[in-house]
Amino acid sequence: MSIFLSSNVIVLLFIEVVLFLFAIYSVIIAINILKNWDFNSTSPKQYSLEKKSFLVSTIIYFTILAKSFMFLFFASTLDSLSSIVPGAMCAAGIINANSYGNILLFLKIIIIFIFALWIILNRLDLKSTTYPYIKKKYFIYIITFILLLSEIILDYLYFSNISTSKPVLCCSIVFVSSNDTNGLPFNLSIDMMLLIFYILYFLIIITSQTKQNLISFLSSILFLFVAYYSVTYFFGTYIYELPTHKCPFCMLQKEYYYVGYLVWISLFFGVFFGSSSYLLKLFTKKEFAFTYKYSIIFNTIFVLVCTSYVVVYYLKNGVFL
Amino acid sequence: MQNKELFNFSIKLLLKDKSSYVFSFLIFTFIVFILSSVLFISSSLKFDLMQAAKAQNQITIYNQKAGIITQIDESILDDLLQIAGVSNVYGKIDGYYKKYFHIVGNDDINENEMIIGEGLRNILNRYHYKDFFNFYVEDKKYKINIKNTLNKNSNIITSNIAMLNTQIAQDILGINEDEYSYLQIEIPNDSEIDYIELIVKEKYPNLIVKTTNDRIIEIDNLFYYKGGIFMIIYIVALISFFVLLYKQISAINSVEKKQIAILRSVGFSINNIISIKFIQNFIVSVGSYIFAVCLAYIYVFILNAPILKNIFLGLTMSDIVFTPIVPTNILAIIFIFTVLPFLLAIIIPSWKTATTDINEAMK
Amino acid sequence: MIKITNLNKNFGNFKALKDINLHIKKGELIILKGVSGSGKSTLLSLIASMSKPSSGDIEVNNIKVSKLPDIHSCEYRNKNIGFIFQSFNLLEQLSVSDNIFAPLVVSNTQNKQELLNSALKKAKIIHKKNEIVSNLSGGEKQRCAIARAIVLNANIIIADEPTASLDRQNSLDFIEVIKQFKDDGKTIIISTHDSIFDNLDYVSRYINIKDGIIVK
Repeated sequence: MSIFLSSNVIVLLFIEVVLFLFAIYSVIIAINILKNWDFNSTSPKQYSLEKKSFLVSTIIYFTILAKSFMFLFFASTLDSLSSIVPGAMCAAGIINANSYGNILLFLKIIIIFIFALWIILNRLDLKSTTYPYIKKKYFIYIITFILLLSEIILDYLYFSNISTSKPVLCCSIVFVSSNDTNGLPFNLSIDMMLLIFYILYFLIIITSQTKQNLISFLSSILFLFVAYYSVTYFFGTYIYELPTHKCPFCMLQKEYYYVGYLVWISLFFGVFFGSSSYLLKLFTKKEFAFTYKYSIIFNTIFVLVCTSYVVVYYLKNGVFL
Repeated sequence: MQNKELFNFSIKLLLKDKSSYVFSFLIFTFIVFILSSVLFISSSLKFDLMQAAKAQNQITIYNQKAGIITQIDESILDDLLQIAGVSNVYGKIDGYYKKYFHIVGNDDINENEMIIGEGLRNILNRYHYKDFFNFYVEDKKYKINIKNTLNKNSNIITSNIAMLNTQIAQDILGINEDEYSYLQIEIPNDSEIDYIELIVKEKYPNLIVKTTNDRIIEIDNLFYYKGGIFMIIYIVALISFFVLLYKQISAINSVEKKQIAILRSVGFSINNIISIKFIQNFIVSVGSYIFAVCLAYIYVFILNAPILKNIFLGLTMSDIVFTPIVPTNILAIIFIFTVLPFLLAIIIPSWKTATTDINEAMK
Repeated sequence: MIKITNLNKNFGNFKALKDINLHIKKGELIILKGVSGSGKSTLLSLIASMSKPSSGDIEVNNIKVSKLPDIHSCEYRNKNIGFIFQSFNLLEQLSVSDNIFAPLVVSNTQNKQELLNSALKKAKIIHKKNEIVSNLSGGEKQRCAIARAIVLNANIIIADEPTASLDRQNSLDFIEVIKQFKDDGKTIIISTHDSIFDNLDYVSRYINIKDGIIVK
């Protein structure tokens, strides 16, 4: 029995394919624009390109909305597959069912990230009267298209290699360490890691206030990795109230009130805005105050939600796990 | 705020121009209705089967000869009782009589009585068997009185069930006194199930041993299979619909072209026009989705899905009542499979309308 | 103030406008005269940025209008231009208020209701504000079109054959309205065949266009 006959997977792949077809159509237009764009020309061809650029941006706006929604659907699909793949109790087992899973997940997130950046760049481009960023914009889109192509291929490879008869590992095996390490990189202790976590958070807040975007960028990227490990190996255990339950995916399930979505989405936006100020400066040589504001807001939400689980547990039980 | 006013304005335009959307609304509603009905039926059936699977004891054991399931000997029952961790083993009588009756043995029923399910009740009533029924086996006749009918809650599994006294059931089905249709092992400690399963398999390599989990996976697989085939057929239907829709929308009438040109001439940008078209189509498609889902709910769970039910279950089960279960996952699937493609299909026509030359359109 | 330099507009091989040079000062009332197909409508449409030139420049109120991207040209048109069409070009199925409100929908102004009411009053159509446009008479439709053109206090009014669908009385009413606009300091460009516009003393200039060229 192939996994392809799960309704969730069929719907997922169908929409991905349709979105990809639209992407092919719009990337052809984008290449055309890159080759022939001359803003100062008054030829009908130039005017036609200007009109076509609206089509591309509309397709991209719709694609990012659809992809964001489908990413959440992807997460819930993985969860639902855990009931037909033996051994899996949550999405962690499904993602690790073959080697494509983790790359696919990472790729999907990167794509949404780049599209979000593109949208900001597009708005800035339209605000000006001379389309200053048009070439950069479409160049980024062509790179994104290559990522989209990889995504579709990976989608197919990943889903076709999930076996419904071979058991997969559960999160208790994937994330729990062997005897002497605790699963964290560089052999960090939990305390060290938490220290770095909070230091990075405050560093991001401070550099956002003082508008030092390179440091904000670097600390945001670092924060992404540290936060992932912190949530999986520390904060998660307080969400599940079980010191041995280390899993980034189980918190997406109903039993934990879907708090996983809040945690990961706020982290995504926090890191996005924290790093986008530097990237936008790279492309447009300008500063954008709103990125700092949102970076502070979302990172704070993320840190507050995580910390509150620990604090609440301590208040309820008088001890830490 | 500008966006709110644009939204209100889009709705005003939509309400004044209902006729051009009626066609797409109706066809789209129909498509969503069919999809929803099928998904509702299959998820309801799946739910029932899951409930039944979970309710049974943990391990079920069948005997087989040459790949066909046969009766299992009583002696195995005694052996199984000896395994540590097993609290009880039940021998069950289960079989079919003349296609309609799903006979199940039960020790608590008197010899000349039976309890039947809704579906069987309806069938017997049709043949005027109101209080009893005669089972004929070889040259013997068993007259069994109908004691009770199971209520509707039990649905698909019990619809055609006839619960008879175990002894009588054995006689009617032609099963020897020291044999059973299958055995069920009760294991109080869930974590021991897999281990005991291994022991049984090792001791009796030619018996079929199934745990509750296995049964759940079987049911899931069955539904994934059926659901999947349907989805693929559906995609084909959907594609043809959207080709139709696209042709319809692209043939934008000159009245609408003029309307858009007028708006453009007072300062509506291309993006504004695309937004208006999107808002209008979003309202039409989401409205249609909600309407179709409600219709499907009424059709499946209140009217019991005439016609469609027989396609799914065949004619023998025509007296099923579906349990009203609508998981959010199904609603999300329907939404993604219908509303999203609809909105994708209108991107290019909306853009075409928005970028038409103003002067051309106003002539 | 409108400055047009070396303006050319081609439709395929057909040259609608050839090397137009024109300077219109603030507050002038210009009457464009010429037969059908001479290029009057094309010129007006270019000034309003509803189409783009094949070559040349148009500068309005110090904004280079000829090469503005769509969003900006729409904003320019929304704020600066009030266009009155020959066949009124109203949204027939909507009410008078909705029609006049249309430019306000996409503008960034604050007091939209006040602007709406003020325009209804000035065009003397407030008594019909909830009436569906298709039920109005020709003169009333004209006043609705006028109200829409002035709702955002545009300082340039462009009218393309405004009296072609009106009877004599309504045409005279229209001229009164134009006079009022002139007194308000608006720049007005009217293209027309109608002789009713000849010999008006407050017209700044009469410009003749023939085969896409301004003739003296």
